[in-house]
Amino acid sequence: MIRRRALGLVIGSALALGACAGPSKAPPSAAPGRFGRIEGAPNTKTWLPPTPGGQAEVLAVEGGVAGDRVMSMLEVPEGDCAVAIARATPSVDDVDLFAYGEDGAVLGSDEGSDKSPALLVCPPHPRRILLVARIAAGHGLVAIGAERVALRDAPRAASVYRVRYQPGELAKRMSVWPGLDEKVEEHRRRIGGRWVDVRRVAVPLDARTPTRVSASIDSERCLDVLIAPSDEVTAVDVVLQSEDGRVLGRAQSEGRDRTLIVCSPTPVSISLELRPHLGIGLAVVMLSRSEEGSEPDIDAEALRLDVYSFGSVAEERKRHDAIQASLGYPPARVVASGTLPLGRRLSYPLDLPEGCVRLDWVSGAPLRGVEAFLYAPDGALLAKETGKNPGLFAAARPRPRGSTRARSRARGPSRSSSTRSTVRRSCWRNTRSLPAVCSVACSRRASSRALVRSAPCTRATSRARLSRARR
Amino acid sequence: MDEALGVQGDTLATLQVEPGACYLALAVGVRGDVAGLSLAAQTKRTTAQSRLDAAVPGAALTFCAGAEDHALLEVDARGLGLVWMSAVWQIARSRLGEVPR
Repeated sequence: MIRRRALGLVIGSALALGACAGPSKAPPSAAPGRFGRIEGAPNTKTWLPPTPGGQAEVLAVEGGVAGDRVMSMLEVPEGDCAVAIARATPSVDDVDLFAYGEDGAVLGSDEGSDKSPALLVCPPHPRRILLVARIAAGHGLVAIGAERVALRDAPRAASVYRVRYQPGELAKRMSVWPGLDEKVEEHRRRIGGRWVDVRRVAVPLDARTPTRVSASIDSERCLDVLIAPSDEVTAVDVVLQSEDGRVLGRAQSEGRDRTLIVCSPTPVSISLELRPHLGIGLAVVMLSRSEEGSEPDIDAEALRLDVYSFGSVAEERKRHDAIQASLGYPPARVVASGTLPLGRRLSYPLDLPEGCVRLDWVSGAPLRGVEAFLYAPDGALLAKETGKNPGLFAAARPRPRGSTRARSRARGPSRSSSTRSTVRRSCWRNTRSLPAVCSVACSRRASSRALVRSAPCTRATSRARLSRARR
Repeated sequence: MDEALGVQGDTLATLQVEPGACYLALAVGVRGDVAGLSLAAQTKRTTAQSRLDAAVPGAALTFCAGAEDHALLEVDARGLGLVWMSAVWQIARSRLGEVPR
């Protein structure tokens, strides 16, 4: 990210066409032959074109390449509008401009494919506004500026600055989708909490190819996803994946729509993969961010997926047990518990019963994922899984008499922390113990527990013989 | 081995890759006004980035998985009403007994 520097130069006094934004303050003149670091912002006199308004103020000037940003806070009286613009040197091909409230509310955006974006922010708006310009293509210097505009002059200012989308216009455009606003309102009423629109985008859907949409979640916040497909497609599957490719869950149905809420204790990126069972059409993907502190108000019955653990091991275990019980699994037996140090692998010896076994690691905050490996005593890797609560499946065979017990290991952080393991066991058809090694590693220090379940009681496995099909 | 549709903005996808194999990834705009389309592929040890070419309505890159079994593919698409399509092909793989680097 480009570092922010305010230039703070006010020129002119009234909104008058043809006036100039004026040059930024020149760096202190140096004596001939002087060499060394100088203070101040780059001089924009040679490349910053005159602005149509007369009260334009350069807020920040930075250099950067594609993907870099220039940011500045702007204070605007609550009764006035503000025009914000970004301008760039010739080597920059495309600049986008965004305006946000301090609560994250999107006040405006111009993502047009040019390098002269402009926004108009009018009441109601917060007093303090964050302006962000992003270099979408090319490299060079970018300046962002703003001008105070009286409410009565807003249409004129929008015209002279060539503002693409006036306040409310984006929402109005999305409202062309019949019943969309009502749908969002009803959905939000159902899930509770308070939400701020982050993104509404129409995406193509095709049964032959998945459609992907990515989003980011802020620390300690939730993201609400509502997907409204068009009539041309049937039964849209929506899979939520983490940045490392883990499937975090699938959206639930609200009629034809699909919804889910995903939360994270740390900033993360997530991806949605959409695919209808039949047809080719469109869907509107609506992403909303929870307002700070409103997360406890989210309906407990709403589908909520956590990227990482929020609660203690005991809380997470209770939640995990409820999910497993709803899937038909019997109560589990705790086989190991402890605190995993970051970056170090710890091993725990386990005696697995004969049959198909499910081994779950349940992690508590502040752990940020566990890598779990299940090894046989001879070192053969039986299963491997990564995630918040990785589940391992293994088909254990009878243990030869007198064979050695397994060990368990875990990888942890540089800072040491205590380790605890517990074992839970339930519903074994065969009580003969089998040796195995379960090894876990975590990426952040935290505690975790391992649960062993026997699958035969609920998910019976059977052997099928395959043969050549007869014609 | 993978194909997907997407719209404007940054889109991330994690691909399961074969250790030791190399891949070709391609993204092309199929609808809308494409202002810029770029691709990046990242494993734990390597990063590959497509080069912007204004004359081409898409982007392509090759990358090798090394010893990793996952790669992160990022499509950065800029434009208005843009729809893109991406595809990934395996173009080479290590021989049995060869240690991926």
